[in-house]
Amino acid sequence: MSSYLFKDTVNEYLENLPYSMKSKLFKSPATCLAIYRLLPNLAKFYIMSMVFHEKPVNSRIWDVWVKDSDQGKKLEVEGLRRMKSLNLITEKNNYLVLDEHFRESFRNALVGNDSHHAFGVPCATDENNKTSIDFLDEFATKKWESILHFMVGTELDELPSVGVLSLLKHSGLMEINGDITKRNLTSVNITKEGFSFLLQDVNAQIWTLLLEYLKIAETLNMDSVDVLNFIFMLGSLELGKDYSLEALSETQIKMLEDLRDYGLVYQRKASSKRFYPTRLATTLTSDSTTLRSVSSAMNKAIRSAKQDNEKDVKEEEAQVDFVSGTIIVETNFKLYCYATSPLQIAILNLFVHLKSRFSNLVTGQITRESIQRALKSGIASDQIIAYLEVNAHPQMKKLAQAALNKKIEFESVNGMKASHLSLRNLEIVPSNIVDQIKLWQLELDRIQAFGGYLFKDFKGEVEYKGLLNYAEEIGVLLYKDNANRKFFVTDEGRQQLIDYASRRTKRQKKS
Amino acid sequence: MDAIADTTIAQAPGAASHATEDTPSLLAVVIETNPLFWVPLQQQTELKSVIESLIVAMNAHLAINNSNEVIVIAAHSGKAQFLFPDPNVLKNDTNPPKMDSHSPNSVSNKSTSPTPDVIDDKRQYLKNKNIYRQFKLMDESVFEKLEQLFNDTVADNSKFKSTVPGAISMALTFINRMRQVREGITMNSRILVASVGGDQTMSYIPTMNSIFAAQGMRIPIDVCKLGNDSTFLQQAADVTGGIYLLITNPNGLIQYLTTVFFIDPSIRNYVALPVNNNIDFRASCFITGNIVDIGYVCSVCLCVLSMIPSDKKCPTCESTFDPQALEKLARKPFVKRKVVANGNSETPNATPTPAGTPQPK
Repeated sequence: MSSYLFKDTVNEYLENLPYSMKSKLFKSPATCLAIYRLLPNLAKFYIMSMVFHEKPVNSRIWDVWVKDSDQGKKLEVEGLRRMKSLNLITEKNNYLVLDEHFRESFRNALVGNDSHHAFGVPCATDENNKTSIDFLDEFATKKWESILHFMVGTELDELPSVGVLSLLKHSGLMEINGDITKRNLTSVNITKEGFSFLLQDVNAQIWTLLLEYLKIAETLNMDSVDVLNFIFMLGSLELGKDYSLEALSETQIKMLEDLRDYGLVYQRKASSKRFYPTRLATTLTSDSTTLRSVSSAMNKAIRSAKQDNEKDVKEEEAQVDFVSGTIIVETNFKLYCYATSPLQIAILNLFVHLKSRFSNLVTGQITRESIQRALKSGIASDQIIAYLEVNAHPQMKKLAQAALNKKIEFESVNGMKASHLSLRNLEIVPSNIVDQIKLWQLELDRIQAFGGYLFKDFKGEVEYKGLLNYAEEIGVLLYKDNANRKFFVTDEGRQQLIDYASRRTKRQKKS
Repeated sequence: MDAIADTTIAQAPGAASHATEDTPSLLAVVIETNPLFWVPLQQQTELKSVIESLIVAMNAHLAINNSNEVIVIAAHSGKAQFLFPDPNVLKNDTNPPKMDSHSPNSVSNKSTSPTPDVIDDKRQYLKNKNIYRQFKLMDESVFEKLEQLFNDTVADNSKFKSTVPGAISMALTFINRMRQVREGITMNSRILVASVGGDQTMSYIPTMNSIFAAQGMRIPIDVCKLGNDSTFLQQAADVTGGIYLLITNPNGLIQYLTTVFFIDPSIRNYVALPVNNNIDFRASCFITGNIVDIGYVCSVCLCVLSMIPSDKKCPTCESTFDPQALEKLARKPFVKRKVVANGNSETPNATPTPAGTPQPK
């Protein structure tokens, strides 16, 4: 659910880049692969069909490919729009052409014919003491959690680094007063954006910070293309391998230091000639399914760290049994969460009325007040629902899957076409909870704002009626007041209505 | 309540279109590698170039999504074998040591930390060429395994038997196991069969069995057919909702693979698939190999016959036919009750006789 949020923000950023920069980006196969992965599925299909097809494609052919259904057409339009705004394709007299740089790099990526070291240069020599994946996980978790803990205001032994602090401040996630460079903070407050940031999944959070980082990088005269290429390259590296700094540009080496602070890469020493990408980095361009495994790996790391402290064997076993951090929501709005991390409890506290806490479990109730409190502090209902879904207990997922299977079976037995029932019909969180949370949000959104134009002072009833009917026909009318002869139309409808009015008056003059 | 829910859902524009996109998909590729079948195709193309095209197409599949997966099975002479991932690694078997350099964590590319010597081995590959690691693991494994397969193959004309159905059922069992092992993570799966050989009577039953299994698991079977049309595979694609395409120009194979055979299950609902309207649904006779309109069916193994075998035994399951029944059947076009026994169906144009109308001798 929430993974597309990060896709959208990354896409938006890429779309707004000038063409000169994009064509530079397209020269790196790794970047091309990452951009490709961010596209909607139908666009992926279109691009792939063009990669090995040199000639321009008539745009009508694509219309033929897509079935004549509302949903299909919507996807087609959306796919085309995305590809065009990313400058992947250009349209000339109804013929579509794939960007040459992109075609070449992407083809090279697919065929394995690449000389750019786009996928990183592994170290040729062995390091004396290898760094294990477990260690990398722990390192990444520690770094990243410390940032999140800092945000929710947990007491920390050590403040995050200067880079992290200024990034949090610039991104508007935190209000930090005081001298950042001397780490002398007078007051620290989390903002509305910060709250909704906390509810996103790890990947979306990292992307939010990286995009902010890009903005700062531009002001520091760092080459954005280099920065982006490096970020996308990290996404294609292999976990647990060491990579050499050789092929990196100066900007990218400078970046390493900052990325180390976020837990994306690990270097033994700042002067080290090699770096290890962590799980946070290698999953940058992945989607939700792998993310779940990221969080479970993270949980494992946390758990093993905890187990070191706890000597009671029985407790250890008990901890292995449940999956840490998973949530159960009942239809009676009661919520149970196997949480030991103060971070997760703090996040839950944002929208749940917590009642009691046990050694490995917190219980609470979702109430109108608790949800509205969260909504008022800037969290969207979708985010809450997505959070509940992503962190749902495996048992809940299993139940939902079983229910869906039953439904599909029922429909296919009865001869109905079950193809429209896909995975998105999976109801992990009980539907009454989902509806209620949305309803509570609607309670707050009683006023909806529309931009538009008010038409008044008509010459007479005839003119008023004529224009009103036209506005109603083309579906742009928002409000009308017959007694005072006024009506209000949307932004888009204004020009159409004016055109119609002038045609009308011309006709009247003639006759 | 429904009305309210509708409006609230409608308020999230694009929610539906996004939700369909996140499901990763698994592509099982079955390649017919039996050298004997490739001989007639020599004029048109060769196995190597087809494999190359397939590899690029599989890379393309992996490129769609980070969690997409590929399995490759070779239907070779006499046996079907996994080319990727290495089944030994899947079983967490330690042998043979030569093999486990390839796919230790590619199967799920998470978990299992590779042992140091594995990393060393892979570094050798990574040094050779610069290619995305997911692609690399798969490509190397496929090539090496294939080479091994061909080195082990002994020239033997008796192995002129299709192993495609076997390979398809291997793919199905693999997918089924993936579904069991990875609870909570749902994957779209499909099977792509690259076949060159023609239909073989003996593989009718195994083919049909695997087709119906695939249908039950809702796995489409796409068929990329080189050489001649195959009735069985046509039926496979039709029953499971897959795509059947006879490639007449194998040089342009990559374009076929990146368009028609590239349609991910997640967009199948929206894309117009090529349809095959004249599918031959007839079964073939197990003795003569002719396609049968009306024939005899063995009541034990359902094998289809165009004539009563001389030894009065089913050629497939060897069960003896009931002599009484045979006697009745032998009394040719005579129509008893409502059952039409028509023994003349060897002629392909034989039309079914309306019940109750005795056929003139």
